[in-house]
Amino acid sequence: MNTEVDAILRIEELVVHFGRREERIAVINGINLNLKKGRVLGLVGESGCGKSVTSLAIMGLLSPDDSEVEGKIIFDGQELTCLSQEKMGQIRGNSIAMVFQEPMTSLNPVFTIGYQIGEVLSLHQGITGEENRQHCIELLRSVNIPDSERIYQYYPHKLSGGMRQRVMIAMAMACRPKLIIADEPTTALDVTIQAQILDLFKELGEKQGTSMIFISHDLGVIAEIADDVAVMYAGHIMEECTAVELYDNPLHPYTYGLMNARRGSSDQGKTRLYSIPGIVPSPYDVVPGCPFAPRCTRAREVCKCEIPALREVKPGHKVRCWEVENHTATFD
Amino acid sequence: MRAVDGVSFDVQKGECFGLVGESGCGKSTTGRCILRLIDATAGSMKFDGRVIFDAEAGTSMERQELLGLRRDMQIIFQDPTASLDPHMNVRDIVAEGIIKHRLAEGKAAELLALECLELCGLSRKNAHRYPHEFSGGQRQRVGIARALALKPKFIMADEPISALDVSIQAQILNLMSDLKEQFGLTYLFVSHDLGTVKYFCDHIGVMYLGVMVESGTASELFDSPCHPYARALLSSMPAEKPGLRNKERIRLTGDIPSPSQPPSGCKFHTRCPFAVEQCRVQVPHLESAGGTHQVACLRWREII
Amino acid sequence: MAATPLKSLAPGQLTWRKLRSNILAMFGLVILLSFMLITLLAPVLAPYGRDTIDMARVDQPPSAEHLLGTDELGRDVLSRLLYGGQVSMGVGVAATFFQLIIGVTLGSIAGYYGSRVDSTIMWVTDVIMCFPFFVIAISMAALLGPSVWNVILIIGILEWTAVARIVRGRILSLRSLEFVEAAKALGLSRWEIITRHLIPNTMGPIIVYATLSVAQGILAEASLSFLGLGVMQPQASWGGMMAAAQKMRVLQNEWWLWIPAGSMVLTTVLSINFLGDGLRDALDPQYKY
Repeated sequence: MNTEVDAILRIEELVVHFGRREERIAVINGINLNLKKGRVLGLVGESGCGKSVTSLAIMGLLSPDDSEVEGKIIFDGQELTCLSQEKMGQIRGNSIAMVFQEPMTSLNPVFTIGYQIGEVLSLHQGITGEENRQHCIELLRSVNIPDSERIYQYYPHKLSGGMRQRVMIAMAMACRPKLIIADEPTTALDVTIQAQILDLFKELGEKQGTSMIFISHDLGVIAEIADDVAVMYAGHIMEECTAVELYDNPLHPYTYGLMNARRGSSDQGKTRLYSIPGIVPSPYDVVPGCPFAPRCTRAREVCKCEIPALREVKPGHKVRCWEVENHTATFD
Repeated sequence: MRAVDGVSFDVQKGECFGLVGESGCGKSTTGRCILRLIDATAGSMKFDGRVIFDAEAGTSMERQELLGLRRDMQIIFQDPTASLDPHMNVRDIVAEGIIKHRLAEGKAAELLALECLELCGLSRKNAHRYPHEFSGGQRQRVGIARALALKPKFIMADEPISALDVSIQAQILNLMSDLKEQFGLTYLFVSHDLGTVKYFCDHIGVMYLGVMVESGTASELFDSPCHPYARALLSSMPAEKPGLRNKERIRLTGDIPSPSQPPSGCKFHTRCPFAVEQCRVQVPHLESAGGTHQVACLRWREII
Repeated sequence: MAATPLKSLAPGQLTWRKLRSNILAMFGLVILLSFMLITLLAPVLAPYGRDTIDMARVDQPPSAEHLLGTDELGRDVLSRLLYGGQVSMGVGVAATFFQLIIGVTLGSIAGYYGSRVDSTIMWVTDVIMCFPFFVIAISMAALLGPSVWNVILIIGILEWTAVARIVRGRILSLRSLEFVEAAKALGLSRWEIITRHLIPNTMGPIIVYATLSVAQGILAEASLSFLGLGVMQPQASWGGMMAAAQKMRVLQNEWWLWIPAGSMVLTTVLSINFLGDGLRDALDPQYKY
């Protein structure tokens, strides 16, 4: 599916532990990801699956005091995990940028919009003064913020959630990054605003060829924007393929469950919803074998003892499941 | 500031009525007004044939009557964590209403509470535990058990699954559906999620900035939406599959206006692609569009 | 994985566990409990009576017979220290109790009822807070006359404002949470909501405050008694004993008359503060709101 030459980001056997001694838990259990240039990778999962931690690990934002990162993260040929904080600081906001979930709190309330965007420009590209101001206003325009000259002087509290998120995107795009990581950027927004923001992401991605990692728990949002998808559960990747393939042929029981639990246009018959039994596991609940086995209707003995490996069962489609490996068929 | 500006609707017994809209539309406020958690400035409400309040006539319920009403009308909250008192164990949380309304006392009340918890899928073995020991979905079950304990006729569910993980949402919806069947409940389902509302509700009302712009059965609304806002809302729904991305999405420009400074005339005219001069001046009222389908738009016939 | 045991604890047990791991707080607790024990057992432990005068052994330094020496009336300092502890700590606890009753009630009413009730109560609070403690205390003591109960009264009346504000603030933030709305929807009256839901969730800050306020009460009593406005002779209190140091002669030559009492105050207050700090930390993460 991916040749190494094309990959802008390669993650190899990433493992992340939190806590010390008795309270040490594995939040990410050895994941491998390849992101091709110019494509959008959707990272899907529910709470506690490790998708946000993955993004923080890539950005080097995990505190060394209470976390341990093992494995390799190779961005544009450069190994990130062994970089100093200083070197990492030059990359953050510059070649890799991040957009967070909460637009209401990600902007500093005591600085103007213009100041905050300008900060990124002056820090990474040394642009100051009037040139900086013009650049900022142009950036605001590029994210479809009307009246950008006036908004430049505003403080964050004057803007709505959707507008603030656009500002965040403008900040992220300021230095024309090669990679943008968006962590649930539309979850806190209304549906019509969410549609606008997703369109904006798509536009910017196409225009500037930026690669993206788009994290979300919402399968609808992922369907809108992702080219490739990786499904995470309990710190593992359970399924990985193109978006089209995932929605047409979900192979892993968990993915299948998620797809069917959605209320879409097909079910007006008010039949009972398909639901995955049990609760979403926390990183403290470590079970031997496949982490999904306790909730899986298809679990067998081997599933409870040994965790399956992530294997390519169809060209371009990887699944971590004993059942699928042996049958390579869709579920009923 | 008018959070709700002239909303009227009927909810039939045994049905599920959905209130849909984005932030600032007033759906939550409407729901809380119905539950008498907020006082209405104007308007009236009847429940089960009884007048609950009538701001014009100045009638309102006596305290004892209100207490009785509370037994009949209950609420399920959005945030399962904040809706449970962290200092009480879940059995006491559910039993509190039972004891207050004297449906049982002492041990009997506790047993009743345990039964309710089991009806909602929680084992009585864990009834002595505290909210923080449960997962989000389980806490929501406790909230439902608490509402159910009073044997209400009507339950207002305020975004009951929005704060839950996707795989748990379906469980809770199934539970609510089962309980509705079993106890003949009537639901008012407030949500911003169109997909859920379409699945779960019989009748739906779409709200925008405190007014109801369109209402009808789920099929009337989703098959042939008339109001420009309703149509934009429906087209903003994310695709089901990558192949079905909506290329002709209706793009609304700008943000939702602040409820403290609403537009004149039709509240939606500032963002409406079909707005004309008259829309700025005249306030549209709900007109019938066939069956139970109602639209509040001056130009809806032309737009279709 | 052994992380689960923590999860099955009630909020109170969880707090105790966290407190246990704080060495300073435990140290403070042990000292405090020991002092309370020995002062309560003063009638049993004290070698002499509180008021036993022995004019033959006046102003004697510590010896085998009188472990902490004698005062100007020949009374045994150690015995008076133990009995004095009853008064000093007793005043601290009683005054705190008084403050809590007034402060928690007013603070919760102000916080929950809001608008005019809140404004009125807060106005009263602000007015009382404006007055400098010692000026008023001294005036009141002068008017009422020195006695243990007057001291408790004075401290209680002047110092409830702090806990009222704390409780009010907490209730303001709790008031908008859904579990309060849920209680309303169940039909609970306002008073029921305050007593059953709001105050139990405010216990954390109240306990921390109460602990530290006992220390303050002890200090206040010590100061008032030192100035001769508190506890009257022959009643003993640590502050009253320290009053002896007002004379140069005592200060320079007769250390046993005032240093033991002062040390007791210092140690007690310090222990309470350690404990209070530990409690504040132990109670904190529980409140995730």
